[in-house]
Amino acid sequence: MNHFIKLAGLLLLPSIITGCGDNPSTKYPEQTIFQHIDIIATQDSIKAKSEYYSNNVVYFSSENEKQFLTINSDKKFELNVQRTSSASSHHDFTTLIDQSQLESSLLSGDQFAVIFERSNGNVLESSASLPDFIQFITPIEAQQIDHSSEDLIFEWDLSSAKENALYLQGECLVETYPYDFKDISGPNFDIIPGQTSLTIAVNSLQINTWYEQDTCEVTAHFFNEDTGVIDEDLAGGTYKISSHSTRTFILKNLQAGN
Amino acid sequence: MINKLFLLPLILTSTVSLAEEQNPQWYAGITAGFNHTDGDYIGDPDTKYGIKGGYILNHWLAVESELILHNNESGRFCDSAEFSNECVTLKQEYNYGFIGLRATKPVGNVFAFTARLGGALANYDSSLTGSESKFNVSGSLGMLWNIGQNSQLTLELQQVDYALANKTHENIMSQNLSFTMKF
Repeated sequence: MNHFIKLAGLLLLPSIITGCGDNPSTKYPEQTIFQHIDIIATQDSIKAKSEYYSNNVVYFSSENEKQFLTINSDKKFELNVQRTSSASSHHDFTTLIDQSQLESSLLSGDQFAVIFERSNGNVLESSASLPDFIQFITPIEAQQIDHSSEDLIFEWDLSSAKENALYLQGECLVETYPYDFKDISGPNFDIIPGQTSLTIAVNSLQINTWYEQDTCEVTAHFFNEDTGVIDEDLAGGTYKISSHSTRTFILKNLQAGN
Repeated sequence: MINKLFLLPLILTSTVSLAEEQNPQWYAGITAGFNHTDGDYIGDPDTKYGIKGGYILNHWLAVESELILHNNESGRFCDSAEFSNECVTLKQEYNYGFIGLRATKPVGNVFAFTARLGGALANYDSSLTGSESKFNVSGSLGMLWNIGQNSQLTLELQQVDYALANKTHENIMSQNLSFTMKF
């Protein structure tokens, strides 16, 4: 009987020994992980996120796994990593890099590499080149426009290579829910490839009924988007990188048109 | 790799034959087991099976060799539906060949404690990451039941270390049940 008790102990032993393993997510081979990167850069700031999926989001709870953004292999910034399953929004893991951290302005053609350092020592690098910043020609900065009597005309210097949009944002404009990483809550207008101007017909912008002031500061946003290359050792993914240009102007005589 | 592993028992028996002593006792048998691993989503094998053989040096020590195949495992890993429906399939094969010494300490006429220590050449083959081999120390501990004059059942815990791709490794613990016959 004593031997059978010892045998029973042997049966239980593996459960005790193997019950304390590493976090499983760190054991995924890179070849089963999809990476999705979204970077928006102005000339003096960066908003970036890089997420990893393998059936469900891979939550890298291991502190040994880190990711970095390097610019021209020179500047290096640590990017946030999703480490918890309690995520309610992807934006929670966005990394913001401001002018004081950058130290110098960003230029089109700058090389943005997202480097993923795994706990097993492997290093994966997905890279992209910052696309051109478009320059607004009209309206000019701080121009005052009476939209109750004139069209709102936007012109810019570079045509978009693919379908795009021009976004407007201002306290007086009717908000829309920002569904994407651009996070602009105002109206947007489709831009087709090759287009270099947009005319918004007189008095057609929707103004909030509760807005009582006669003038309103509005910012136009243009995102010139391109794609980068995901490290070939990963299963796949997407790398979106945008140069973000803005132009601020003033809508005036608002109460006359609404 | 599997072909090389099959040669291990032959090499062993040939070597030992050269140093043959009086009353040699050979044994051979089959073995099967259940693996206990970390229970992650990668799809580690659950079961294993194979053949083993050995030469009894004296009443408590034997040289033993074993060839084991795990059941093949595969897993399908897909991107988030938010981005695409792209998927990749990871197929995995595990096997190993062991050679080492087995010690036995009889407890009465029927049962005995038994332990094994040696080296295992473990091979891991993956459709996505390629093949990795590793020769490392492997051990086991268990009990032996003499169910007849020349037949035995052995229940033991066994450990084998696999080198997986991407510099990771898998230390597989398993419960094995073996049936062997002396000849």
